[in-house]
Amino acid sequence: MIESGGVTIMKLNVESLDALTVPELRPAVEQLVERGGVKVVVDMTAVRVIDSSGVGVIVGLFKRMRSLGGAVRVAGVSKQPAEIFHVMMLDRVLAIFPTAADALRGFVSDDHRP
Amino acid sequence: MARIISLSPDAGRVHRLDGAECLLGRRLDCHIHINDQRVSRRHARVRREGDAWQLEDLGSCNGTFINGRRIQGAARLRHGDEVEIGASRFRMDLADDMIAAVESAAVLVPDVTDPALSPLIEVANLRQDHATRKIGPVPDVARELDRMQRKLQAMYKISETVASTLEPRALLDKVTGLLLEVFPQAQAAAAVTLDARTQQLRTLAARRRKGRDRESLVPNMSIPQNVVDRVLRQGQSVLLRAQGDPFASQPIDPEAVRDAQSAAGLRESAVQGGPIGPVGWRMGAPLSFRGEHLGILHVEADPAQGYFTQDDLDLLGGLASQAGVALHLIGLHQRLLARERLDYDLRLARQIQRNLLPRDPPRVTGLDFAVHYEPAFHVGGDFYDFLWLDPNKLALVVGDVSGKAISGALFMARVTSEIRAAAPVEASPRRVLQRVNRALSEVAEDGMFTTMVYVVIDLLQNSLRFANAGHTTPLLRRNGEVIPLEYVEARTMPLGVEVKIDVGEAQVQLLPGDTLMLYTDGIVEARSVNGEFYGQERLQQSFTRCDGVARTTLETVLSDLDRFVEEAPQSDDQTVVCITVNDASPRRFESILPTVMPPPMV
Repeated sequence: MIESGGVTIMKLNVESLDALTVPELRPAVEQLVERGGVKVVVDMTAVRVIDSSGVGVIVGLFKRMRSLGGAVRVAGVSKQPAEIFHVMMLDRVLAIFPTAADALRGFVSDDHRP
Repeated sequence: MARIISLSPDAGRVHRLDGAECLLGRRLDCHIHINDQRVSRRHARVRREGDAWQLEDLGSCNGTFINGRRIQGAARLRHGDEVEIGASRFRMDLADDMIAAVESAAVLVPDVTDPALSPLIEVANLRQDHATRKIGPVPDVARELDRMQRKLQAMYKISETVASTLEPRALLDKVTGLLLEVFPQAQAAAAVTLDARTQQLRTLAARRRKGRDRESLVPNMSIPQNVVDRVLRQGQSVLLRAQGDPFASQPIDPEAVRDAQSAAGLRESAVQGGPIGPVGWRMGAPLSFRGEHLGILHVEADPAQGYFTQDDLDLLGGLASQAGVALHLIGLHQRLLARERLDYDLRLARQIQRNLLPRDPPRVTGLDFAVHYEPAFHVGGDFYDFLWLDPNKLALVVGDVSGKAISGALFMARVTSEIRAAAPVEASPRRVLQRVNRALSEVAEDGMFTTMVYVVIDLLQNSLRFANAGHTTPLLRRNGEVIPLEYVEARTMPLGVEVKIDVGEAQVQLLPGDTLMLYTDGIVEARSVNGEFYGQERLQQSFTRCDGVARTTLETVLSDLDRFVEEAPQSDDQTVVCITVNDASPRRFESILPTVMPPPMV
């Protein structure tokens, strides 16, 4: 995790965000919530495949950050995850950006919606 | 167990004191029947008074004697007392009870940093010293035999003790009691264990010999930190100086020890022969198992009764290693029990969860149902339900909550109850989803949410209406072709994510021979041993090959899935619900109206 001007960038270094890799991610999410880091950019550039557990952890993070008054932006979403987000209509609530740099732009000071 | 042992007549006969009292007399129903004209019919009785034993003369003619002295009324019995009634003599064996009184003496761990004040007695060095200096006369054979016998007895007793309990505290309590029996010079014994997680020492058992406790003695035993380190880290047995020993900083000279004992007015017998090697007034030995040191057995001598020798230390080490093995086994046993309890809880949770889901699909003439529900763990996050909205409308829901195991199961229970609350009051699938979503967004702040497909089958109109909240796409098989029901207007995001959701619904006319399949992502995301997903395409292909019967459709799909995953472990719950519209009766729905309204499912 990289901290940048009050925004935490969470870089997911897994090719497949699924039932097997999600448990490794949970402690990081807990840590994030504990630290009260409420603005998070999830960099999914490395993630090629996502399953329902992966979606679960992203939506879970989204919900928790929002309940803390923060926001989550998702960046670098490749084809399969984008399709999943679209089919589940989660692209309507998740703020999706092409790259982490795009996601950071305007995130630090103003509101979290694109 | 306290005992009364006959000395004469019937020498050696043992009467166990296992009741609250023991009657002695000439009557046949006395516990100890004495056939002697000088003995009264109910002559005397031995009774437990708190933790002591009492002998009471019951108004006998010829009296009751303890150690040759006639008693008046009741008198307290002590271990080894000789009791005389008429011509009969008995020995009181109350050894166990003498040390039964547990005065919880906590073990303190002071931090001794000054090596000069170290209470440790360098056993190894002194032993060598002893070998060159040849202090004291060689012990005679009788003494040696006595010592060997005591050792053997102690080892036998410990093996008996460790086999008798499965509770660490009870075990160590018995062991400390045994230590006081084995070491007559000991006045207190304690067992401390090391908590592997917190690295904290805990006194699990401590005993002090009754009657020898003196005001001047501190009620706590103290094991200095460096001793703890030595015993627990290096697993060594150690001899220690007495607490507050003024000579603590000087090496112990066995000659000086003897002098000190003579000066203290010790009985000649205690000094006779002299100590063999180093002596100490306290000793500690590790409770170990295979190099893992679980705790310390610590014994403290009464300086007036004697000291501990290298021999005593060796014996303590032997006893401690036996107790260590037992302690280790008890630990294993307890972990096993805990796991079994957890297993039991999970099995129970599974049962409870299973009861939240419908046991059997509804029976509807003209419709054919088959359900497969397989949680990956004991309890799952998948759910399905059938609800009668009115005699002509059957609602069916299949869903999957985020999270698994217990947390998922609890949330699932919440979701199904919200659906059951919403279904009877909202006519359309989209409004049911909205209502459930509202309820869940209020509670699901912990990041949980659920996907689901909610379907209402209208038996009069032969149609189904549905809405899909982020769930897998329902599949309809018609004329050998599989149609994914992916209507955008009927789709919305999972429930519990946003407070307000936009959702429409879709309607599909049902034809005879149609099969509807609802499933969870545990099916399409099942992986082969190579890590490949089963996937939507394979599912649709195998569904295409099915016939028009719900049960065989389900079996065909599942066996295709089984062939694909082979031995790969199931990582997610799997649920499939199939509904087939029979083409047997063209006007099927009118003829199947239930004669009795099904029980309301709220």
